[in-house]
Amino acid sequence: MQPSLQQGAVTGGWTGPIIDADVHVNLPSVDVLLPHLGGQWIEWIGETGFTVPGSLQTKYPAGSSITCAPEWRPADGRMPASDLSMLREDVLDPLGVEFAIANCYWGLDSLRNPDFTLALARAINDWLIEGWLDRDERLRASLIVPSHNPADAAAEIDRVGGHPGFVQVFLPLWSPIPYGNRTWWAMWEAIVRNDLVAGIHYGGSSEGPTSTTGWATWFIEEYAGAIAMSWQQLTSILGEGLFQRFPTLRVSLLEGGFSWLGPFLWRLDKEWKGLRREIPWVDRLPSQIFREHLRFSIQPIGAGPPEGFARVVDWLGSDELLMFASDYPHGHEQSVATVLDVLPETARPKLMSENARAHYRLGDG
Amino acid sequence: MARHVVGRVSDLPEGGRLLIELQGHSVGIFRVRGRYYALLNRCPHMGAQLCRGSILGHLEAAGPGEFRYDESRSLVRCPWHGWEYDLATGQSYFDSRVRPYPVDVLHGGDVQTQVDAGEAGFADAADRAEKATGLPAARLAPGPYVAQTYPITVADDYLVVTLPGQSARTAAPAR
Repeated sequence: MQPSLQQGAVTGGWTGPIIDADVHVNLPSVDVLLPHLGGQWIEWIGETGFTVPGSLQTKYPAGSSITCAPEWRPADGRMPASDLSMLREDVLDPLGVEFAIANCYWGLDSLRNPDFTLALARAINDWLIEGWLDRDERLRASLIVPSHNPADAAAEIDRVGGHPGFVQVFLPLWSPIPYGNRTWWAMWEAIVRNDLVAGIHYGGSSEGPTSTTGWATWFIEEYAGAIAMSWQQLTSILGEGLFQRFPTLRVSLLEGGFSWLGPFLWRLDKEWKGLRREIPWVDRLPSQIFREHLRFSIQPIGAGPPEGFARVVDWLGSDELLMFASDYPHGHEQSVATVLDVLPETARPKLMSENARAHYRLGDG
Repeated sequence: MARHVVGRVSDLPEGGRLLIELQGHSVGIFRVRGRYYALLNRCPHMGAQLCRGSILGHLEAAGPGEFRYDESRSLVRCPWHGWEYDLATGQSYFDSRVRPYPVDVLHGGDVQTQVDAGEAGFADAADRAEKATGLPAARLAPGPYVAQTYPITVADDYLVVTLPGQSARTAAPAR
């Protein structure tokens, strides 16, 4: 595909400033981590034949067009989005992005060895710094944490959270315990202490099946059914009082869509009025709290007919919630033009750069 | 303004409530921790009989688990959808509000003076009223009808509820 066509398809013809709130970088293989691992773990990898955590294939089947859009799949068979030059050629340069926030999901949640998982998380973060953040000033990234142990997660956030390239902590959407639970407070404290955003992103695994009622059979259940998990995590974070415990907390919901938000907030507001006594720390309408603390990357857009979609966007109740994302190299049917078309002119710069700039506190220009 | 003598103070024991129709409106009168309250018996949400709900203390929290429970502030919780209204102000935790009415405790002599001057009247026997004691709503049972004309005795104290609108219509009973 022509680069110009590609650029137009991704950005909807927008010519103003762009901040891409969700691009992916993939490990070409575990080999790139070896320089960042202790000898014990290099030996362990060799002895066990470890290649990749299991969640990666479940959450992103390697051959799926969602995992990689055809135009972004390297013809030479290399892993998509696994090299800085690919990211530059496919996104950073043609889109002319001011900043792009890189997310690396490798499926560490499916590992059970806590020490190996922590070692891998540290290695990935060091690889992100060395191979990406320190090599392109347009890049920012989410740091990776082991997602089964809040204390280890907190320690890793404190270890690398001060690097100026890290603006966010990657939290897989599925987790062993809902994120609002007090079990996680040590991790949330570290996120806030380091002034980072908590980026809840599609992926991860629970201690049990994919859905709260059993195993999913197909990828479509994993990917489209993730909406239910978004609702579960958001109600947990709200109900457990994280926004009162940590008033400065900023949260992003990434690659989870947003077209469901309006009715979700209606329902929460409605139920809160009668059930607020359970959670008296939630002292305002949930919709107000979420609109202050929560932002969304736009892909997958999930728009229906234009007139219906315009209404859905209006129901968000704010033009400060959405952040443009290419979601590179993931493939999605609808471009940001679908959103731009239903936004008033004043809201378009917010979508394309200003909301992410404010949320991630990225410098001006 | 219309002032309605709704009963003797001794008719409404601690924790009790009285539902009575005044000027065509159902009104709930409460005695909670020695204070008297009156609210329109209609939830602004969907019209439920609000004053049949549970009486609860004020509950808020600075953060998760950091409860601040204040028994001195009382709320009634609508039996239909659980919305809570402050008995003193009628205010809910959000933008919904129900009308509160002033309740005065007057000595018998003062009541008689006001009744004689046409400034207060009795809720008469035709006004349906229910009395209940005890805070739990489940114990609110129909009847007996207590609000009716009765002789004012100087030694007693009376509950007088003030509603906006027409002046009291019932003539003073013979002593």
